[in-house]
Formats: sequence, structure tokens, C-alpha cells
Amino acid sequence: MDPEREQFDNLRRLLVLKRYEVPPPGFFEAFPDRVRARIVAETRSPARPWWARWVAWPGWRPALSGACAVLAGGLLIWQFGARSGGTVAPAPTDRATPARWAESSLTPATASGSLPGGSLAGRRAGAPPWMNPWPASAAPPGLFAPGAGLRGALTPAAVTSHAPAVTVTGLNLGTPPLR
Amino acid sequence: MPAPATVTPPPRTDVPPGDTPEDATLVRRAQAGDLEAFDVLVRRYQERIYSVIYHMTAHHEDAADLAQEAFVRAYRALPGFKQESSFFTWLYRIAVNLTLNFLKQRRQRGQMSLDDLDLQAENDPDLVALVSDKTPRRDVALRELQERLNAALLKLSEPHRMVVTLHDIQGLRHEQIAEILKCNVGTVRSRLHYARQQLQAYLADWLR
Repeated sequence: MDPEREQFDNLRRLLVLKRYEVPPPGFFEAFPDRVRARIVAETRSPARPWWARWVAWPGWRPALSGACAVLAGGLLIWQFGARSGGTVAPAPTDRATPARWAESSLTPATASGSLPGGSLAGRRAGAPPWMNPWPASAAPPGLFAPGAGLRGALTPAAVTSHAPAVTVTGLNLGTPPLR
Repeated sequence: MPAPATVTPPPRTDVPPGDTPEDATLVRRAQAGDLEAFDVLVRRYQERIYSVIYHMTAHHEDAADLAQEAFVRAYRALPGFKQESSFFTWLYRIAVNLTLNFLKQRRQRGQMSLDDLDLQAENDPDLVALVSDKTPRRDVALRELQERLNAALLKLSEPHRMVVTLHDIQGLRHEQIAEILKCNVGTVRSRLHYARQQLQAYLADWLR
């Protein structure tokens, strides 16, 4: 017998095995019901409008994701460029503004030095330290002219007539009460 | 020692019934919206449709889903079916196209989920002759052979695997395959010849 023919016969016998592969028991009994259930479900569900089908088209999802990513990236770059482009608000040069700020900060309690360390450096009476916009040792921007002391900036006579409070480890020593 | 019982392969679900008058009547009724008639058609062709998809995918769950999808699509397309070809060929074409499209998207996944072998396979004289000299445990040998055979089939290109499935496993004629795949008979023959050569090379140690 032709060896090629013999090999082909063997292959044909081997392929017979494929016919013995069977799905799990009961599969073909349940299959028509599954098909029917799906057909009935599709018949009952209302037809979607064209725009709903358009939105639901899976091909849009990658494109939409890409567009969102590009938009977010663009916004970030624009924001970064705006910040680094020197648009920081300049310190106020108007002397009246810091004066008003100082007046509002200088409540009687603060001025009297009844608070520990009664500093005028921006801390309001009763405000917790985290609310302080500037460190206690630093002067608020624009409050003092370069080289000028505290007295030069604060005009009320009641304040200028007293010496600054002397504090030692948070305790007020010898500041006379402000009347 | 009793002689082993002769076992014939499972009934050839692969032999197409042709276009029976019953099919035409059932199709007309289904086109008029009779779901019972379509149900009869599903029961009549479910094994063939599942089988061709399963042999192409080597994956039971995929085959079950695709077979269901094929029947649902056929029902949807039924109003446009003019009965110029047989319902059988038309249904096969839907299943084949669905499967080929699915396989294009699934290329990267090579895993198999094989159906169990019918216990009768251990007594098939052709298979006994092939595996008896490999190991005394026929069931182990058959399982190994099943995996090797499916792996070899998966190595074929999809058009070649389809032709082998339809002709050598399902038993369709060249003309029917050509009609389903919408190609000429010569193409079917040449694909079949090439696919067999490839399979013989992949399974050489089992075919000696």
C-alpha cells in the first residue's frame, strides 16, 4: 500500500476521535430553551434610539478615553504654564492696607499682652497656631517698611506709648495693661 | 478472553439532511413568527452547529455561546431569508462567519477547554489500534491523543481548520463546503490537501 495513502488513512482514523467529544450531559436538552429565552427577551426589550446605540458602540470607548487624557494633560500643562509665567500677585505697596490689617490684628487682648507671647505678628486672639498665615517671628508682607520698626508702622498713641512686651518661654512679663 | 465489543462511531450528525420539505415548511412558519417552528429547527441542527464551532475553537464555553448567538442571529435574519439555498447551508454560513470573526479577535488566547470523550471511544476499533501500543491505559492514551489532536488542529490556519472540520470530521461534501464558504470546489480540495499534510507532520509520532 502507498505509504502516503496509509498515513492518510491513519489520520482519518485519528480524526474519528473528534466525533467522540461530547458536551456535558444535558447540554443539548437545555440549549433550545436558552435560545428561545434570549429571542423572547430581545423581542420584549424596546428598541433603543439611534443615539443610544451610537453612545453604546464599544469603538468609542478607547477614543473617548484618549480624548479625556489629552484634555486633562492639556489643562495640567496650561495650569503649570500660568503659574510659572510670573502671575504671582505682588505684595501690597499701599500703606493703608497693612495699617488696617494691623489694626484688626491688634485687638485689646493682644495689645494688652494677656495672651502668651502677645506678638503682633499676625496672630489673632484665640486663633490656633495653624490658622496663622505667617510664622510668629516673621512680619506680614507689606506691613513694615524696610528698616522701620514696629512703632513706625503702628500709629495709635496707646500702642506707641508702651514698650513691646517681653516674653520668656511664652509667659508675659511686665507688660502693663492697656486701658 | 471475550472479544472486545465492536463500537461504531456516534451517529453521523455530520451527514447533512439536505433541504427537506419539512425544513422549508418550518422556515415559512418561523418567518411568520412561529417560535415553536423555530424551536424544532434549533433541535434539529443544534448538534451540528455546536460541533462545527467546538471543533474550530476547541473550547466548550466559547462554542456554547457562539452556537446560541448563531441561532439568535439566524432568527433575526429569517425575514430576509429567500430560501434560495437550503436552510442548512444558510445556517451553517452564519455559524462559520461568526466563528471566524470570533477567532480573529481571540488569536492571542491559545488555551483549550475540551469536551469529555464519550466512554465508547475506548472501544472504537480504529482508535484501539492506534493507541494500544502506546500505553496499557486506553483512557489515558486517548486523553493525551485528544489533546495532541486538538493542539495540532489549532496550529492550522482558520480556513484550513474549517475545511478539515467540515469534511473529515463532519463529513460534508466538497460542494457543500464550497457553498458554505463561498469559494470554488478546487479551493476546498487544495486547502484540504494542505491541511492534511500539516496534520500528518504535527502528529507524525501517532501515525507511524
